[in-house]
Amino acid sequence: MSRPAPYPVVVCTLPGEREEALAGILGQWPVLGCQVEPGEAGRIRVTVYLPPGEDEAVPALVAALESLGGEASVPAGLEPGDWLAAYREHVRPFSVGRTWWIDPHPDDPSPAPPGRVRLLLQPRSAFGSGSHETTRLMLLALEDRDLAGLDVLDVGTGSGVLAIAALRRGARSVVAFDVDPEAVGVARQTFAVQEPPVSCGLFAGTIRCVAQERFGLVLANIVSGILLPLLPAIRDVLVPGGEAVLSGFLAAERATAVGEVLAAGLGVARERTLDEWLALEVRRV
Amino acid sequence: MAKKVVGQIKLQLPGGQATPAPPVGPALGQHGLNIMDFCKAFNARTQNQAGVIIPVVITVYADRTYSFITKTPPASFLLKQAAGVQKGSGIPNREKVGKVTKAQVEEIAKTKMPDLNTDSLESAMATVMGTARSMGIEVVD
Repeated sequence: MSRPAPYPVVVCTLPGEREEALAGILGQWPVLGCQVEPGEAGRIRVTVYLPPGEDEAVPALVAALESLGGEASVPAGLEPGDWLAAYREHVRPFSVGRTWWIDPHPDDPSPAPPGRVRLLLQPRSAFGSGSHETTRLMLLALEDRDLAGLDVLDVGTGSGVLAIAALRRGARSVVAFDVDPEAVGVARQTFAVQEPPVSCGLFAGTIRCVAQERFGLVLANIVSGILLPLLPAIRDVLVPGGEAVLSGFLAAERATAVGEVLAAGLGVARERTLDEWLALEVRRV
Repeated sequence: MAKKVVGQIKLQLPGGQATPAPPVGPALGQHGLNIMDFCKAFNARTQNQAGVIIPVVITVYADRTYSFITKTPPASFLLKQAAGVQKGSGIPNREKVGKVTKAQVEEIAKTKMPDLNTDSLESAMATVMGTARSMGIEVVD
């Protein structure tokens, strides 16, 4: 396998008062973003990162940064790293709701407390480490449901956490997918380490790939900007009376979310909130 | 009791598009923070400003938790976007590079209000129009 390409980097020191102007110019390039750190004598040190392969944008970016009164340099690109390693090191197993026990150490698992169901979930670069409020809302919804005999679709599976939770709740089958191939790789690994083993369909692609299939329950934990446009397609893959649990809405977006759910031919059966987040349990009407 | 603060991270990221790649990954990773949870929260809060560069300040606590605030994009950026121009004018009083409507100025003023230290839409609009003038962008009715 070839080595992954590095991220092109541009470093620049700027007068501190140009920090806002910096945000004004960065959007002209396909940047991943920048870090701003305090420098000497009221100046700021700015490190800009570009996606691998975007080296062509570097000269123009350097010129633009220097036009803000800075001196820019182009160090060697940053090699991709395992930036979640430090988090993995200190994170401990934790419980969610009255049912779940999330263990972030599949290589050295600890037994779940009596009565709890263990999900082995190593935090990696895919959404769904089990700690985020949106994932917790999904897990709370799942523990309140009997999934026996249901075929389940997990939309935007990320780490695969909801797919394995659905299987542990008795789902007859689960198909999980994600548009991000890296997430699919993480999910595959999640499925592989479960004890006892699980069997789950998995693919990289979109909901169109399963448009001809029908599910009794759809799980989708994404952000509203992606989730809302998917609602008609989610409705179409549900059996009549089938349900979906939708998470990733901000509570402040409730009116819009409920409006779109109704417009898609779904009815709201239950709402749950946790801090600033909202999950909707909906039914095909 | 307030949690002990151990650091502050300042980033500028495209709205709705944070990923575990740099700068987020290395900056948060070295503090042992949950990178993916940050990306999810940042993307949800900024998805209406997709692609616009948003300054964000992350406060890191001793227990390896964090909180963050997002700032509004610079007025100059929002004005360029509204006028559909790449850059402002070098000689703004003589050479105009584009136009925005009063309604667009009002929209930008509303976006910028949280960072402008004012509760008055009129004074926020005056600030935005001042920025527009300094860039050679005309405000028309």
